Amino acid sequence: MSGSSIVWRRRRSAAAGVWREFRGNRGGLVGLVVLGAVVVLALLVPLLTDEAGLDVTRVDAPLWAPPSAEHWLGTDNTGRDVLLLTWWGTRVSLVVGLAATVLSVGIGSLIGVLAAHFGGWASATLLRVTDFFLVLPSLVLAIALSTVLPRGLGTIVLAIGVTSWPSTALLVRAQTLTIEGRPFIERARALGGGHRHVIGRHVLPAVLPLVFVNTTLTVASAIVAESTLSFLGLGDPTRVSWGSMLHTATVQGAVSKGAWWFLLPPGLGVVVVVLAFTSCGRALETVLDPRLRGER
Amino acid sequence: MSTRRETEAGHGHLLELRDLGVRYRSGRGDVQAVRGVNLTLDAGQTLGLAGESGCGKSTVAMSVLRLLPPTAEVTGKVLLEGEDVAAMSWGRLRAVRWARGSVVFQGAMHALNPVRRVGEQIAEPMRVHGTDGSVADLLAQVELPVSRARAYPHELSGGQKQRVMIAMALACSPRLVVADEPTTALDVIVQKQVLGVLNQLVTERGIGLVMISHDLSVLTSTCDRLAVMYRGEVVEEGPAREVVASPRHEHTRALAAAFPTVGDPAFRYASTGASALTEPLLRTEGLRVSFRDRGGELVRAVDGVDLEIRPREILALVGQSGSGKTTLARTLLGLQRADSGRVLFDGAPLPTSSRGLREYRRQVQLVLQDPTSALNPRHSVYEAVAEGLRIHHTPGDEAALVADALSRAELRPPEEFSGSLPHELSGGQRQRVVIAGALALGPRLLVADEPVASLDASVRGEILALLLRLRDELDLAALVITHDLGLAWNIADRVAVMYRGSIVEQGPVEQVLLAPRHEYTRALLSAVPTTSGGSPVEAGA
Repeated sequence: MSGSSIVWRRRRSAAAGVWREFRGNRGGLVGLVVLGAVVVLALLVPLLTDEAGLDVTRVDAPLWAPPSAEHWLGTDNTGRDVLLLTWWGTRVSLVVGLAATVLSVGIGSLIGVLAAHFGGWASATLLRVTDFFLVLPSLVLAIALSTVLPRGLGTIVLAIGVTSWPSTALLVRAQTLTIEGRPFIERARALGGGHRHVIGRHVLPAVLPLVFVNTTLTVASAIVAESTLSFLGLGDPTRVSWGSMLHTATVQGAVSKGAWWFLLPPGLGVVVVVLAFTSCGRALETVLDPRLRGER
Repeated sequence: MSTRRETEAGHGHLLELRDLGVRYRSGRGDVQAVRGVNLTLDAGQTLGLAGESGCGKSTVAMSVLRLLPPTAEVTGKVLLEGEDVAAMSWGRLRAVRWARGSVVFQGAMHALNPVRRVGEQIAEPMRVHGTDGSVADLLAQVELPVSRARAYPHELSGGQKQRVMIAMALACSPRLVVADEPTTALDVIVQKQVLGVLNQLVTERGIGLVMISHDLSVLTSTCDRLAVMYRGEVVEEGPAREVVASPRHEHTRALAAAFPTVGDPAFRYASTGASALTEPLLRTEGLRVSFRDRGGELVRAVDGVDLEIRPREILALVGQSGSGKTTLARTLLGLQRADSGRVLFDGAPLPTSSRGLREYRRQVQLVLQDPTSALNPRHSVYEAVAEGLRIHHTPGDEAALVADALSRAELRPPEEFSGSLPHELSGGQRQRVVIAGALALGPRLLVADEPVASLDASVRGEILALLLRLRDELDLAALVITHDLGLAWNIADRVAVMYRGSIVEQGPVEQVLLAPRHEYTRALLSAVPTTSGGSPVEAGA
């Protein structure tokens, strides 16, 4: 019997156990189904629709048309179909949300683990840097970054990622500190394990569930941040996103025109996706942290 | 309020348990924790409740004041001064708790509120019950200075905290006190003081005391009567000395055998291994380690220690908690840097480079006190044992090496254990896994920090026997750190007594433990509770 096959069998059964628990959580399951549907729709949109519909020069529908049989959610100030815009906007929101989260959680976890593991002046330096980013008004920093750097999706991702990592870093640091205080770390050191061994074999596996939960919650706030920045007109002008739709709607006076169909769909889109991510995250948190499982 | 009740109580016992049964309901099925327990206690008496962890002794104690969780189903009767506890209304129960019966909870470290002064916490039950009494009197009763009332729990030592817990239990002058493992985690000298306080209270105030412990020697030195529990049942009951001297049930016999009498050759398992002529395997010269505490004060944890461990020798390092034993061990392993002095292994000084240290740690391995926390809960037994092999990239078949180490640690057959996670094993099995993990690297010296302190009595002997067998089979040397002189008597060849950072006495076991020369060694020995009553030194003198 080989060791790695035992390990893998146990990991598979652990994953199955997590899934069983998750399935029992109705909120999480609904969130997951909604997310799955949104992702599938976002992936299928180039196959099901014609991108030409987004080109202002090639549409001939009436401007500011209310919902009708032809345009289910009406048209915008240039005569583009709002349903089509919202649908395409899903892609940008998801991509930016996920990419910014990966960046933010990556930086945060790295700094958190290193600060807790090494201690001393290294920790002090890393924590001061974290504090600096924590007290910086993140929206202002993001705005500054998006003005300095060329406008585009990458800049938005960078702006969100760079400003949202400190909370992850502090969370991961706290968790790492509690793990590092446990005697099995001492045992690993006494066995001859170095920094890489202690972090890789003991600290990271114990911290990862927390990071994972944190990721789903960060995605939600990153999507909101993307909408905010686009709403303020800092997004990629060549792409439609939910934030940029809201921006256009406001600038073009959708409110005074009573064009609710231009404002509601992107707003609801943000709400639905964010809620789905949050409920998934909460469910996962309950599954992975047995202390929260108490009464159900 | 209670002249009528007191006359009633006059007929009966202070506490009477009639056919008590407790069953815990849980998702994984019901567990019958206690069944058919009949016990009585009168005022001014002490009753000891002995047994291993999980035998139901704490459950019995908590049922007296109805402190069990809602999942517990209680059958039978608990009569406190003739009154059925189960039939009491909620208000009546609140009045009875603490005013008539109180509890000294297990683990004083965690049972005190860390953000409130201990004086306020002692006064709390008096305020709730509206009874008179002064915190100063209570502190005086447990022999603590009155000024300590303004201290926060973290400013007190373990023994002081335990005394605060006792003062708290006495706050409303209860007639019954239940003490749940009141001295576990305390070292012998403090334990003796705490037991002395409890005994004095029983004689002076005529309270009834139920004392729970897994340590028979503690119970015999304090209690009149003893009840031994095993798997939820009382298997033996009688006068304490009689029960211990001539145990009828085999479980009592196992418990009694687990706590050695220092000086009794029957408890000396060791056959001398090392000859004095061989070169020492590990030697320290004038080792000093100091820390700065929170106030910036320099604390000398290890203060000029000269120690020698020869091949095939078991050296016991004994001393009170806080004497610097663990710091010394960590320094020997290179986990803590020494301020001055040298550690020589095989004649060569301890390496300082990380590569050299890694190589060194193949030779010298650590076994920690609490196997439950020393194993990563996410790693299987296989991974835990293979961890060292992987760190050192040991050549050879990993699975075979792991199986070999497991069977050397007497986890046989190894296949049965390699897939298990630590929480699926018993305490003794976990400690064996830790030992197997150390053995897998083929070390020459084992440093064991209180290797049996957190294990049950019956497992203790097995682990000690394992250490001795490993010495014989693998020519291992071992440094065993302990506060338990009985353990030193059990297995060590030589003993070194540590006091405030220095070694005050060292030499062969028989010499140090039977004819101690240093004042402190004598104090340690006289504090050891024994099942036969007197301490070995007094008995020998």
